[in-house]
Amino acid sequence: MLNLLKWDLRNFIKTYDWLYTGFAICFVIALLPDSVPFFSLVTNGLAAVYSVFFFGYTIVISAGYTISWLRNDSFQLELSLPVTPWKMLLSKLILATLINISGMVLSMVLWLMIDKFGMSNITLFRGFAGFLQYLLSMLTLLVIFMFSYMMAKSFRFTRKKAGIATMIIFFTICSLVAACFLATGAWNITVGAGATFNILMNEKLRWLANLSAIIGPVVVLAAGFSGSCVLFRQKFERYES
Amino acid sequence: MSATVSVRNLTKCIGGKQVLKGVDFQLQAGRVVGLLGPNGSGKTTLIKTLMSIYHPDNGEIQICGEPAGFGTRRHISYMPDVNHLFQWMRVHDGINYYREMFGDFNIHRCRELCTSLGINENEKIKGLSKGMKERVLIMLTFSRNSRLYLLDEPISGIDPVAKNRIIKTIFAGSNGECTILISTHQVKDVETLLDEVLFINDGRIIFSESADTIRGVRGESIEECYLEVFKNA
Repeated sequence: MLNLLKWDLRNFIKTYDWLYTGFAICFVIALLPDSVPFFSLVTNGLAAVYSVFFFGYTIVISAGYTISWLRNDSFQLELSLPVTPWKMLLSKLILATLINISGMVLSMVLWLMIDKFGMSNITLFRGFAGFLQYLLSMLTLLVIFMFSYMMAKSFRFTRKKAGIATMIIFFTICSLVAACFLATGAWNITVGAGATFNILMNEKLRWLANLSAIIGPVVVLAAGFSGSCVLFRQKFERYES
Repeated sequence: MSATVSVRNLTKCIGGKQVLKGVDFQLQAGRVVGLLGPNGSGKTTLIKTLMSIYHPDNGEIQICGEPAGFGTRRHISYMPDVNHLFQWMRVHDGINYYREMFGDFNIHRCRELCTSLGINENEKIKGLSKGMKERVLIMLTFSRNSRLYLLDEPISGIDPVAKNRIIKTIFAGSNGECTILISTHQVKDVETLLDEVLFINDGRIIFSESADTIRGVRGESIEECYLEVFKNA
């Protein structure tokens, strides 16, 4: 498992070394003193633009990482490994989470360093609780996405149009999960200023809301991950074009 | 003695097309077997199904006495028909990957094969010629001490020198205990290697025989036999 994670990490770094090289250059630029006004403005501006790109790109990569490895020729190498499906998928999930979190942390560091154009005011989480909420939501979405792709590639009638099928399954499951949480009052959804859906419960039912807020995402994670493992073991197939 | 591979009534449909139509055969330990057939006959699908990359629609596959699945991959050293290594890898990265991921990898054998196949470990795999890539893949495949070797088109589209070296490596790899299944349509090139042949056409095994019987009893080379069988197929 650790070997697999090590090689997954190495594969990721080798594939996206240009992204992190760009980050390192921006980091050095942000460290330089602003002695030449126009030059500093341009370099800091470029670094600021890159930092936003870096932030967005790491989120996109991490979102697709749980399935992108199955779309390369190297999937045949990974599928020849004597490793159980859950270890294989867990390794990808851990790496996707690491990419996402490290991308956010590195972006925040860069924004603080640049300290121009209002970048240091960007806030991604409010405290540790905010970080945990984000982590749980992100993991839930990653697992639902992985499960959706496994499902799309597991049945004859969806394999050919796996991209569209994955998106349909993904949004359907997300809607069902959100509706379930809303129905039990576990989650509130804020649409915009002054447009908050709140479900008022009497005291007798409030325990249900609290319980489902904690257990709900864990159940979705466990069900999505184990479902992905079962499909991967028994039904998943990818044909080369 | 139980067979290394046992396949019974295997069917497989891909994209609405029936690719395998009731395949039956057994492979015994210590045999080098040629899976011979034209393009599109089902060779790659059969090998991927043995490897559990594809799942059978019907039928039964046993590898080393176990039903085929994730668990039986530990017995198999697989060489696919494309370069399946990561794009950024150099040869030594590929060696390290195999050494760490496969418990049966033999580094001494690997070094010997690198020398005999003329492989430079520092070369980037992406930049290698087709023949050299095939040599690297065959080196990695035969550096494992597996019970079953599945080689999918190991000598397609490469020059005679590289072909000759690969064939010698396969021959050296057959140690009397392992089973080697080679899929190819280049019958003449592998003729001297084979102990048995399976001719596959349109998803069916249409002929299976030992090489000795073909040469001795029928008085034909395997290529002559292949041409005769496929002329009447």
